[in-house]
Amino acid sequence: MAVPFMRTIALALLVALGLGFALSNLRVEFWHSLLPFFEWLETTPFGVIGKTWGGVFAVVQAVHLLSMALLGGAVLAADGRLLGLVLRGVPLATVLEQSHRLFVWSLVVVVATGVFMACGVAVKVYYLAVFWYKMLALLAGTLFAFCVRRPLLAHDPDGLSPWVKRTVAVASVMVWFSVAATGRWIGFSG
Amino acid sequence: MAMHETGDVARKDRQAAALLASALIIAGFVLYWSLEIQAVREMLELAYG
Repeated sequence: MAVPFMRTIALALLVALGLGFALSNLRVEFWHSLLPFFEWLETTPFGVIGKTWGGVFAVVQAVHLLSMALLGGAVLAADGRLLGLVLRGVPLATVLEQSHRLFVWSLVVVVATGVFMACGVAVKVYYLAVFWYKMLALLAGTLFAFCVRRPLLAHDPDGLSPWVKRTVAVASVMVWFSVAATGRWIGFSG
Repeated sequence: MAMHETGDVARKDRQAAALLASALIIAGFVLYWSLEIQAVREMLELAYG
């Protein structure tokens, strides 16, 4: 028998677990245990290439930033349409479907190039608090996009309450803005 | 009838989860960026008075 409000209960449990982890000593212990992994990342071929050939790092960084711009465009198009600010003449379902496809592909490229870039400066980013805030924002944004926003909007988005759509759109823009801004902040740090 | 009710509960579940997640993200965003802005202002005050 299916439990009613399973998704909401699972989300509340996940948040409670996350808060428990963040506020306990487990977070610090986990962070310490990750140092050997980050040191190893710098010795991988990606880490060696990233550290040795600045040109390769710059090209990958350019691709990372371009795909981040595409991802931001997909988010702004979909959420702008949900807020009723842009593309009003195009059906909501069409905008959501097409922007989601662009969002998925740009996210794949963002993550792949981001892993390469992190390998080159793994130990440096390990000690940067803003790097961990970016990872948290990226995790939150990805879970929000695929486990909350997509299932909500995949079924009759026009039938949803306008306030639900607006709240989801504002939260989506905020979380992806945080991913981009904390990413830029990493470049200014250290 | 039962299927209609199940669908209705599932829709309400999706909306409740979306509102909860959105509220948490908005609260986290406001908290994080207000702390960051405050920290930068303090640093600028230390640097330039």
